[in-house]
Formats: sequence, C-alpha cells, structure tokens
Amino acid sequence: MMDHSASKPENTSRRGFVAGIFMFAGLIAGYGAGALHFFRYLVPLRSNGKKREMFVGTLDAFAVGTTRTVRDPRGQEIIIARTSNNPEHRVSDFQALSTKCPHLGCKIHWESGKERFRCPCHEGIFDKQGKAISGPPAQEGKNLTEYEVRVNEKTGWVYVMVGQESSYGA
Amino acid sequence: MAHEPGVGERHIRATGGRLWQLLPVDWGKIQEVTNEPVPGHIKRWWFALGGTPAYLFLIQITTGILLSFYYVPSPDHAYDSVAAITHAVPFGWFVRSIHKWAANLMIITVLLHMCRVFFSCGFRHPRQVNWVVGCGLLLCTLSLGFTGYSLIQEQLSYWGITVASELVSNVPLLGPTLANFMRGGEEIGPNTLTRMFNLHVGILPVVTILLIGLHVAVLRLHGVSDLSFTDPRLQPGNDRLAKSLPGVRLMALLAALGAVGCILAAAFRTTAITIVATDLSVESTRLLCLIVGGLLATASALLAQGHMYGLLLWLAISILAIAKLIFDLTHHEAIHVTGWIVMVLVLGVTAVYGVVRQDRFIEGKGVDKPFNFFPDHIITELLIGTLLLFLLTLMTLVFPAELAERANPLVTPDHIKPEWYFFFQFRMLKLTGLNTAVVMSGALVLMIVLWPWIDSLLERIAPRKDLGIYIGIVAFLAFLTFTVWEAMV
Amino acid sequence: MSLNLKRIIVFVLGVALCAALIMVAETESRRHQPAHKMPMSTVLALTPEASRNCVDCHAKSSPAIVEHWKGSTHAHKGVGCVECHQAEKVDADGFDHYGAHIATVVTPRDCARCHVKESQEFAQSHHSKAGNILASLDNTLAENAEGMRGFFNPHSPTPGKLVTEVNGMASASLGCRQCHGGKVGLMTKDGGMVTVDDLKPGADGVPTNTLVLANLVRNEEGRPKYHPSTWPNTGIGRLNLDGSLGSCSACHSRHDFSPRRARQPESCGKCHMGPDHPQKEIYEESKHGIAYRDLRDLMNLDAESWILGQDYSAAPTCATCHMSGNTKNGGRITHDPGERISWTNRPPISQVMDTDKAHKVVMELDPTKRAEQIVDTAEQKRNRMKDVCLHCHTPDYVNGFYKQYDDLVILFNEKFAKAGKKIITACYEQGLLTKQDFDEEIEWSYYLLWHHEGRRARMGASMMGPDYTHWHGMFEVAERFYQEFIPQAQHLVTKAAADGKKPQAEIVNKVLNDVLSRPEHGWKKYDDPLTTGKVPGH
Repeated sequence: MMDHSASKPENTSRRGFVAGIFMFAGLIAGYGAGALHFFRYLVPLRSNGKKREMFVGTLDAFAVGTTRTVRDPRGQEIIIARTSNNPEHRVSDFQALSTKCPHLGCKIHWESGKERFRCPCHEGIFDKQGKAISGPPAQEGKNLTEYEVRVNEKTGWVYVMVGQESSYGA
Repeated sequence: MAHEPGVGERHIRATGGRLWQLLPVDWGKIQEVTNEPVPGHIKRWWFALGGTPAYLFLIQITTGILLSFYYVPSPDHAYDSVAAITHAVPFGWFVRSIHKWAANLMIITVLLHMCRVFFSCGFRHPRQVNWVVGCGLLLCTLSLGFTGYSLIQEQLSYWGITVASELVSNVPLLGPTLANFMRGGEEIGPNTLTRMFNLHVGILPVVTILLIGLHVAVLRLHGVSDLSFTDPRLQPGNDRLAKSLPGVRLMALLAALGAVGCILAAAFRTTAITIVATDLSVESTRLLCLIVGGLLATASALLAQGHMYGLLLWLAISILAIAKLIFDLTHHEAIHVTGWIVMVLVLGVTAVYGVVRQDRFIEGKGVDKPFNFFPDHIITELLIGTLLLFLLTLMTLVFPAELAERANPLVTPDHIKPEWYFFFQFRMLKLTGLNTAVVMSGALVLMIVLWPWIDSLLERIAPRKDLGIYIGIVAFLAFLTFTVWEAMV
Repeated sequence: MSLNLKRIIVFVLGVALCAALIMVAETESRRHQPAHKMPMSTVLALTPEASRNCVDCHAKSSPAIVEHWKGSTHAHKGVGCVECHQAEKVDADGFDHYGAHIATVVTPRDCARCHVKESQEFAQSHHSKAGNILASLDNTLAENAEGMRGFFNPHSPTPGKLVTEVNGMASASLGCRQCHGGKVGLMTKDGGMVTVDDLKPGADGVPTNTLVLANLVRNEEGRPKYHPSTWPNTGIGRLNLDGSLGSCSACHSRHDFSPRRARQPESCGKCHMGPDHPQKEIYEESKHGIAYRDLRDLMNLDAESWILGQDYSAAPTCATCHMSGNTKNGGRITHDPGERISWTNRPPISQVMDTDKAHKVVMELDPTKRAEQIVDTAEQKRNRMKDVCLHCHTPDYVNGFYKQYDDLVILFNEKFAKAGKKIITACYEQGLLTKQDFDEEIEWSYYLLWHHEGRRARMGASMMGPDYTHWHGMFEVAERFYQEFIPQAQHLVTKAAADGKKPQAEIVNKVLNDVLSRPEHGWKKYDDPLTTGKVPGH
C-alpha cells in the first residue's frame, strides 16, 4: 500500500514518466476511438452519386407547351417543360431545369412576360433553355443545371433523374 | 489538514513564463484552492461515489448534445427522428444507448452516494445545507430521467406523462394548476412535448450544473467529513501480505482471464444456454455472462491487492461452480464434463489454499494518509470514469436501446410500468389510494430533505443510539422490496 | 495502490475501452442498413406536387391511408394520389374533389396507365374472369337456395331494428362477389343502379350510353354514390364501370400496394380455401407450407426483386410457383397464374390445359384441328412449372411427381367423374330430373361429388397434401358415389318405372348397369332396380 506521499520521487522518476506516457496512450486510444465514433455520427449522409428515376407524369397527360414543377427528394424544385411531340426521339421532347441559380444558389423564377428566368439576388437572367444571358452567371458562363429526362416508350412514363436522398428521414 | 507542496504546484513553478503565465491569474492561488489534500479514506471508492454521477453527467451532456443534432422536438416527428437515430444514423444507436444506460447508472450512483452519506452520517452539522443541495440534485436527476423518456414519444412516454400528470393533479390545493402547467394545457397536446423538451435540455441541466457547483463549493468550504478505518495488522512496508503470495497472484490472473472470457461471451454469444435446468433467453445468457464477468473482474482486482473480500468472492464462485457440476451430473445434463471438472478442481484447490493462508489477507485500506487532489485523486477518478465508460460500451453492445411502439392515445398497453426508479412510487400507489400516495410522496420528499434536522431531533431524544441509522435501513429495505416487487409482477 | 499502478490500470482500461469501441464499430457495420431497407417511417417520402393538397387534408381525415402510402414504393418513386385516382371527364364515377377530377374506385385500367405488362397478363388470366359466374351452379345456390333473387317481407318484427324488407341477394353479395367480384353500380334516384351493362363502354373505357348518368344520386360535391350492395368490393374479377375486369387490390391491398403481402400465401388464402378448393389448407399441410412456416424469416419478402434462387430459396409460397420469377426463367414474373398449370381441376372432369388464343381450354378431339387451335400447350405450361421445381428437386423427382399426379387425376376422371356425368346426363335427357338445379337430392350429391370432394382429391394431389387427396378427397368421393349417388339414381329409375315412364327408366337403367358392370366397380354388387323390383334401401 504505497499509495500516498505525493512527494515520493516515483513521480519524477523514469518509471513514473513511462507510466504517464502509457496512461496518456491508453486514454487517447479509448477516448479517441469514442470521439471518432461521435464524429462519424455527425457526418451527414452523403449521396452515393447514384441517380434514380422520379415519376413526373405520363406522355398523354403532358401536353406540348406545358410545364410541370416537381420537387426532388432533397427539396430542390425542377421545372420540366414539354416542347415538342417527337415519337422518334421522345427524350428531346422534354427539358428539365433546376431552379437553383448557378451563381450563389438563390431560387430563380419564371417571368412569363419576358420569357426568361430571373434570379433576384444579383440580377442573373437566363433564357428559356436555361442559358445564362446576363448578370454574374453569364459572366461566369454558368447555365442552369439540366436534369436528365427518361421516357419509357412502352408505358409512356416520363421520369426525371434525381439524386438519392441525402438526409435521414424523420 | 496539513498542506504539503503538490506536484502540480512544483510543475507550475518550473514552467514559469509559459503561455498561461501571461494571463492575469494567480496560478499558485488556484493551485492551492484546487489541490487541497484529500483525506485518506476517500481512497475507498465507497467514499468517492459522489464524483461518479458528476462524470456520468458529463457523458450525458456530450451524448445529449449529439442526440439533439437529429432529434426533432415536434409531436409529428419526435418518434420518427428517434427511429432514424436508432436505425439509420451511423452510430446513432450507440450514442442513444450510452445516453440511456448512463442515465440509469447515474440514478443508481446518486442513490448509492446518498446512502453512503446517510449511513456515515455525513449530513450532520455543519453539512445540513449540502444535504439539501444533494436532495435537489436527486430530484433533478429523477426529473431528467422522466422528461428524457417522455421525449421518445413511445407508448411509455405518452402514458407516463398521462399518469404522472393525473397524479400531480391530485396534489391538494395546487394540483390542477400544477398539472395543467406541466402539460401545457388541460390535456396532453403539442405543448406537452415542447415543455418536456425544454425541461430536459434547458432548464434541468442548467439547474443541475448550478447545484453541482454549489454542492462542490460547499463541500470544499466545509472540507470532507472525517472518518478513519485502520487495520492494525497493516503497517507500511509489511511484505508478509497475501498479495505477494504466488498462489494468490495465480488466482488473480485466473480470475482476470475468466472475466475477459465472460465479457467476450456476453458481447458475442448468440445462442441461448441451459443453466441448472432453466432455459435462458439469449439476453439473459448475455446478462449472466456479464454479471459473472463483473464478479470475476472484481475478484481479480481485490485478489491482486490481497484483499479478504477477493478471497470471499473466490470461495463463493468455487462453491457455485461445484454446486452446478453436482447438479448437472445428477440430472444427466452435463456437457463439457471434463472441462468443468478441471475448472472445479482448480477453483477448489486454490480456494482451499486461500483459506489456509487467510491470515495474510487484509481487510482495511491500511493507514489513511491525506493525499493530493492532483494527480492522485484525479487519476483515481479517471480510472473510475474510464472503467464506467468501458462498462457502458459493453452494455450498449449487449443491450442496445430499443424503440418500443409509437405512442397511441387510443390504446393503453396492457402492461404499463414506469422506469424502474419510479417502481417504488408506483407500488405505493397500487397499495394505497391515489390521494394517500400523493400525500405520502410529498411527505417522503419533505422528510428526506429535512432529514438532518429530524436526525438531530432524534439524537436529542435518544443520544448516541443512532436511531436514524435504523430508520434508514428500514427505509432502504422498503425501497428495495417495493422496487423488486413491482419488477416481479 | 501506487500512482504508477493506477496509471497502468488507466492505460489497460483505455485499451479495453478502445477494444470495446472497435466492437461497437463492428456492430455498427452489421447494423447499418441502406436507406431502402429502413423501416417504413424513416424513409423520406416527399409528396408529389399534384397530390400535396390531398395528403395535407387526408393526413388528418384518414391518416392511416396516408401512412400506408408513405411506406409504399409508389411514394418513394413519386407516384401520389391523383396518378391513380384521376378520372377522365367522361368517366361515370368521376367527380370534382377540391380541384381534382377523381374517382373512388381504382380499376385495372387505371393501374394499366403505368403497369402495362402486368395488366395485360392479368386480363388474360382466369382470375380476371372470375366475375363471370352468373348463371353458374354456385350462383344458383346463393341466389335460390341460400337467398332469393330480389326482396321479400320479414316474418316478424326484429326488436331494436326496423326491418322492412329482406335483401335476398345478401349471401351472393357478401359471399360470392367478395371473392369473384361483382358489378360495381352507381345508385340512381329511383333506388336502382347503373352498372357497366348500362354504360356499355367501348374498348377505351368511355361509356357509349351516357343518358343513364342523368339519374344518378349525387351529394353536394357532385360525387356519385356507389350502390351499397356492390361496393365495397375487391373481388378479383370485379366488373368495373369502365368495362375493365378485376381489381388489383384483391392481392396488392391499397394503399401500400405491397408486393410483400401478395407474395405470402395468406393473400391467396382469402379465397382459395374452404370445402370446395382448399388450396391454402393443402399448401399448409404440404412440406412446402411447413418449410415456409418455419423459414419465413429467410424469405426476403421485402426485397425489390424476388427471384427464386437468387433473392431467396428457403421455401416456396403460392406466388413462388404460380407467378414469381426464378433463375431458370430469367426472373420473368407473370400475373396470369394459369401460365404454369397443366390440368384444370375446376370442372367436373379435369381437362388438359391446352389453350387457344383466347386462353380457353381446347376441347376438340380431332388431332389436326386440335393442333391448329392450340396456342399454348399443357406441356409448355408444365415445363414452366418444372423450371420452378428444379430449383430444389432433380428432374427424376419432378417427373416422378407429375406421373403420380396425372395418375390420380385420371383415376378420378375415369372412375367417378365420367361415370357420374354419364348417369346424371341420362337422367336429365330422359326427363327423370327437372331442369331446375338443386331441387332433387341427386343433384346435391353429384355437386358435392365433383365440386367439393373431387376437387379436394385432385388439388390435394397437385400440391402434395396426402390427407386432402385421400380422406378429405377420394374417400369421400367413393362414399358419395357408392352410398348416395348410385342408390339415388336407382331410386329415380324405380320411381320413373312406377310413374309410367318405363321406357325412359330402362334407358337410364342401362346406362347405370353399363357403368356398374365395369371392372373398376365390380367389387360391389347392386340389385337391378327394374328386374328385382326392389327399391334401393335409401
């Protein structure tokens, strides 16, 4: 029971130092592993880059010249327009544009009178096809992001390809 | 208490001119205040139990903050968000399990700490105020437990609040007002959950932290209550102790190996076992392994010190093993017979060896000399803390926190019980009427809070008879009986 | 304890903690489930724009259906409420509901907007024609024997309930039509109803006769009222207002449209059970059902694709053998359960499932004509089934089983079915029986012989349920035939002879004697009712 006397030379001796190093190593191993787990817990879900189909509508119900707005699973709004009726190449009928300004991420909106998309943050203007025509996006040469559209010829289903969910549902 | 120069102090003196020296703080003074010598008997874990809930509280704060990253305190989403934490978020189940088990452990250790103070009469003059502060901490801990499981929005949460608020509404005079205040309305509604959430993550933790600060400050100002146990057999430098016997060292080693084996079995065992003609479920099997592992680990630690209790544990384990072997052999259900016989032989021989040498085992802790808070006591606390975290981690592996059915206001489950720490009250409620139970609970809390003064009254009536201790024993046994009774039915 | 020892113990504990945490990480990797396997409620389902109003309101008014939908693949793929419930302006049961034109009943035509292949297969299956049981023997029973065509007056007052008339069709509506499917009808102001017969929809589902719609009962919202004797109904051969046949929710339960549920035998067991076709009970008696009950946890019932031999192989369910994909057929699922069935054991005499292009059994005897008519042979069907069997059994085993099965079916056909049919046909032809079904005892006996007991025997053999083949099957067939059917026929002969129909009685008696003198019936001696003049002791 040699357990008292703080002034014993043991603490300053080589043995005490080595024991101290061991103790710290043990603590770092244990609590460090715990901290790593906690860090992993906080890391948000990352999309695995895989895309999946999201149903937009059927061909016959989607008239030429109309648009539909859908929200992808991450909450982003996508505007899908049907521009033509081309049985040879169905996919070219559709154009799906993100409503997120490529400049700083504000939400753009359609100005029907001027036939253009406008971003209110820094006056970014895009044409019907999503091409930047003025404002910061045009200077940087960034157009609106386009989503891939798929059409199932047999069923007449129209899909837009969206990223998979990126948050834990609650 | 004499003040000897501490290690830390020397350390600071030696590192003059470092970064912290630039701060306008008198480090020497702080050193002096914080590094007060600690009386020797605090080295008994029994007497250092107060630090354990504090350490667990730190764990609760950490895991609680982590849980609040994903928890959504809205009646529509609360259950789903807990489900997401449990099933979807990486390590979410782990964080939640730690939070759950640490909460239970915290209540146990608070109760144990309270028992220690009670039975060693640590609340007597001039420490009455600190007892009252401690009672406040007990109530805080219990309230944290209650509000905590209310947040999950499972069946127990909903019906727990329902029953509790109905109970509260039976408090004389103030009842209905209090109940409405607690629920945030006449009935349980959207406000109830936000109230529980606010209490659990805001008000109660802050109050607890303030009370802990007060508790520790008052403790330091009064100094730790004196007590000394000594073993006359023990003198410094006595090398004729049991711990230097090779046989005892072997026993300690065997116990340690057994403990590791049991704990591994608890963690990885996936099949049920039959023990003494009883089929255990996988969960019970794991619990049994964990308990045996814990016993062996304790035995190993005590034997390494040559402590008498270690020998007693070893004897108990040996007797149990022999009894099991005899039972198995007579009931023809023995498996791995050779292994068991070898084990029983080893246990028996070593136990007999220990009994023969029992005069060399020690009982006390030797001469109690004051020691420094830093690093001695801190390392002890670190040791206890790391051990607790290790055990908690094992608990999460063996018994991860589950998610019960979603709260359904239309269906009260057939068997509804509160958490175990309210079993006592629940049983009391079943035994007496509603009003009686409410009044009795109030009286009980009041009695516990005012205990130092009641005790001094008893002392005045019957000096030196320690009547309080007997009342305490009866009360403690009643608590245990009621809790176990409620758990059994 | 020395300070250094304490430090070392802290080190050991730290390492132990680290080890425990590594175990935690190990558990985590085992526990962690990819998003598509998460429990229903934790999967994020975003409501499609068009259905957002529906969900907002119905989450309060009928929360369970919204919850069911949220967990469905539909919700996950962005298919909301209106995609299925939307109605055309011309649809008879369409109505405007908070800005959307919808109909309550979703028909296979609605499902076919997306699930083209499935609905085609379903449309050609026997399932979709289950509603065409009008004028069948079963219907006669429910509408005459069990109930009555129309309403009649109550005997006496019912205390506590005002009963003014008795619906004689109740048994038919609740018994027959909940499995077979009935006509969906809209209530008219005069208490009658408009069904598909009145609307006469064209191939596109658009009604050609819209005049009848003027008289519909509608609420303030304009919603037509379904006639309560026709709706709710999820019978598999429902006759819908748009002319389509069937109901997908018969197996796929709304609103979670669960493939999981349709894969389980309990789903089929809603109808395929009971005294006349106890397929569910036979399956449960068989080794297949026993294995399923034991190994249900290994069936991977939640999987997106459910291919035998790839996604699961613990045990077969009804769907496994009759519908689902397997590794030997390239994972091809069929919604026509008849595609793999080589005998139809439904009629009095089992028929070989050589089917024509209308998916009807070919009854032609002339080999060349027969070959011309057949589009899909029974052999092809059997081979499709063998694809399934071969996942667990050897070819010898499978062929051996089919030999045993064929033998039993042919035994029943030749010994009892054809004999019985010959006798009862003769009775009808010679006027010994009235045209009305079920008014004479022998008609009940003959019905029980083939419709209940005979089917039990054949179906028991088809799915390896020995007790159903024998005790519930062939034994009862034999008892019915020798102890009831034959004595009753002889009784008819004696009675006819006594009533002055001697020539007719003799013709029937000859048929009877021809049958009974065959070697398979030779073990039992009957007295000739005409020569001995004895009335059979019945």
